[in-house]
Amino acid sequence: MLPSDAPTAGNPILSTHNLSMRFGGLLALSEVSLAVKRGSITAIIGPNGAGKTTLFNCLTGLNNPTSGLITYRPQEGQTVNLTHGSLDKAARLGLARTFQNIRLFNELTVLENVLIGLHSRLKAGLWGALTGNKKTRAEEALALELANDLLQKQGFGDLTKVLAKNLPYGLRKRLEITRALAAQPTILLLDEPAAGLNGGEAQDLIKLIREVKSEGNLTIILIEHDMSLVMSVSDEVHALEYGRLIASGTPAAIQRDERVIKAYLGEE
Amino acid sequence: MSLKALKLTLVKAWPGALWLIIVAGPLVILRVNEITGRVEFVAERVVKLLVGAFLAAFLWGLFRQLSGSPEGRKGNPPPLKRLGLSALIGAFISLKVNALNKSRLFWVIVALCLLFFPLMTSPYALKVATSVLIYIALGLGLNVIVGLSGLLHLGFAAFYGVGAYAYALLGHYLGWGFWVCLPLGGLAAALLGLALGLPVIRLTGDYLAIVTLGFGEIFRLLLTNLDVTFGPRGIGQIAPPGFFGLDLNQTFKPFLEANIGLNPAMDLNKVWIYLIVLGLVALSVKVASRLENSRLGRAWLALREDEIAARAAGVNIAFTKLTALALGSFFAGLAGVIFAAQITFINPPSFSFMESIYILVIVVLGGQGSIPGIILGATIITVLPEFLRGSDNYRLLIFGGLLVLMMVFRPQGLLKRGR
Ligand SMILES: Nc1ncnc2c1ncn2[C@@H]1O[C@H](COP(=O)(O)OP(=O)(O)OP(=O)(O)O)[C@@H](O)[C@H]1O
Ligand SMILES: [Mg+2]
Repeated sequence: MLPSDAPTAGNPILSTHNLSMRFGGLLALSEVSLAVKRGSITAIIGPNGAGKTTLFNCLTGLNNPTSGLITYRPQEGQTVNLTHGSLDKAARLGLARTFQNIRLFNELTVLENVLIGLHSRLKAGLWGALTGNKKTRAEEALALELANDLLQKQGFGDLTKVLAKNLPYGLRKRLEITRALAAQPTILLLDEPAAGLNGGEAQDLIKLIREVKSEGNLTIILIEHDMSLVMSVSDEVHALEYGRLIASGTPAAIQRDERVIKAYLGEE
Repeated sequence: MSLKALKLTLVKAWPGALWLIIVAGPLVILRVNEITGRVEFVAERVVKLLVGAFLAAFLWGLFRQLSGSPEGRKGNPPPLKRLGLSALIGAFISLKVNALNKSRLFWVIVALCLLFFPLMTSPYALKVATSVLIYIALGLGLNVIVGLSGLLHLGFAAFYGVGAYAYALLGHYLGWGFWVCLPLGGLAAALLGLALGLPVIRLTGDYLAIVTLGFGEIFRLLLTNLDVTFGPRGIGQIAPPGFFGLDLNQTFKPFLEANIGLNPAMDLNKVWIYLIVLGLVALSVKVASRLENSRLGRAWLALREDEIAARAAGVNIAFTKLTALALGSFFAGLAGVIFAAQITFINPPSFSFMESIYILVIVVLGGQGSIPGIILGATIITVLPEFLRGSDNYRLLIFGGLLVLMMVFRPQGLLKRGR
């Protein structure tokens, strides 16, 4: 049941086919088929409980869908079946994400959080850690440099040694995104990145999203309630309601879609 | 220590200070100008030199008094000891003290003090010091599991026991020596750690605590009930570690006693064990601090902080947990072998649940994840009961109270993990 205007053409980087997720008696996702264009910014919208986070969880392997198929094409001509993946495997394959209720390593410093974000790009194992050999030291120095550069760029200036738990809310959200970026992902999944941000911070976020997208050939999928943000950054929008995909299209088209207006915008 | 003795120490410090000034003075007040290549006199340092020399000599005397070394009693220092110390300081000078930075210098001094400690002390103090070191090794091991990785392990003494019994049994049945058994004991404990880890990878928090507790108890019960382990009677006459096939006491003791003022009651085998465990602890501290700032160490920390976020960063949870369990257990195994060699007799109660708790207290008291904290914690936990002798029954009560107070007032431990 592919929606008529779903962008199936053009070799999508990530696509789902009839994806369903059942929690006991609750069907959180029901036969969702959608495709995400390579290099696009794709927004997932929908009212509370529509299944947006569940979709993210399925895509990143935190939940395994009850039925359906998830296909990931990291590069042209390369196909990976993500249906029964796991969170860490998805991360190693290039899917980095943030969480709706920020998940930082609270008792660790800002720098350590980002260094852990680099985990899948580094190689040192037990032996390297025990012996501290030359290769490991070089890698460690490089990791520090990468992390510090990224933090400087994201405006953490002299906050790198601060414990993550001591950061104000806005910076915590930003740190979580920075940590995800450290992995140099192919796809960045942001679960309500603007929730709780004030006007200025939301503007910064939009700037950040545009910047990281234009710099790396990154694909971004974001869940968002803030319609103005969705409309201003996204190329493509998918709307969910009660676990079903009710519409897909450009922001302008979605804004005009009657089912979306009724289900989602109409509520406000 | 009486006031009179204190005064005497003060007076006696003068010759020592003078000697220090003569030996070390030039080094302090003279400086080589690196540009001109000429030797310069640094006037500001004269006062520092005087005060420093006197303080050093005084503290030295005080330490002598307190540790009750034979010299303190005889008052007639063996000539070789003087000579040895001078040679030491001479060597130090040739090491270009000025080139060493301050913290380096500090560590060199600490290392020298620790190395020469056995020569100046009593068998009893040496035994306590060796225990402290063994507990530091144990604390560092458990720290990897509990402090860094956040896996609550209540059966750690079992892994300590594996090391101890590995040495005792291999020695008894096969006649294998300490140096063969040391790595084997560590490996056996690490393998057991993996064996415990595999089925419990999915468990966290309380469940893991219960499983490890049960595991520790099963281990102790096995030791108590098996015939091969000599059941509750335990195993005695465990051989001391070898030293190139020499009998340490016969070969070196008369010389050390006559010339260095070694306490006549000292057993050189115990000194050798002390030095071995000192080396092991130094190595462990080095490795542990290296681990903390490694990709693997950060994966442990991430696991402790938030397992889901760790996985989202690409951390393989199974590998991370298993390495923590195996490595932590390895430390415990090594400590166990040394423990068996030190006390020469082991039986199951040495590896009971209470022992696991002591080690846990060290980690929690010191500050989870903090290496200096663990050193401090191990010292407190080992030395404190020595002062509470006779009130053994209250020991648990005191530790319990201490833990509760810690949790309430300083949950991060005495010394927080620095970054
Ligand atoms: N692990 C779970 N177990 C049981 N039910 C779940 C689980 N995860 C999600 N659900 C349920 O699935 C439904 C969809 O939840 P989901 O979190 O995906 O919604 P959402 O669209 O992200 O909503 P919100 O905007 O509030 O974040 C909800 O009814 C939720 O209670
Ligand atoms: Mg959600």
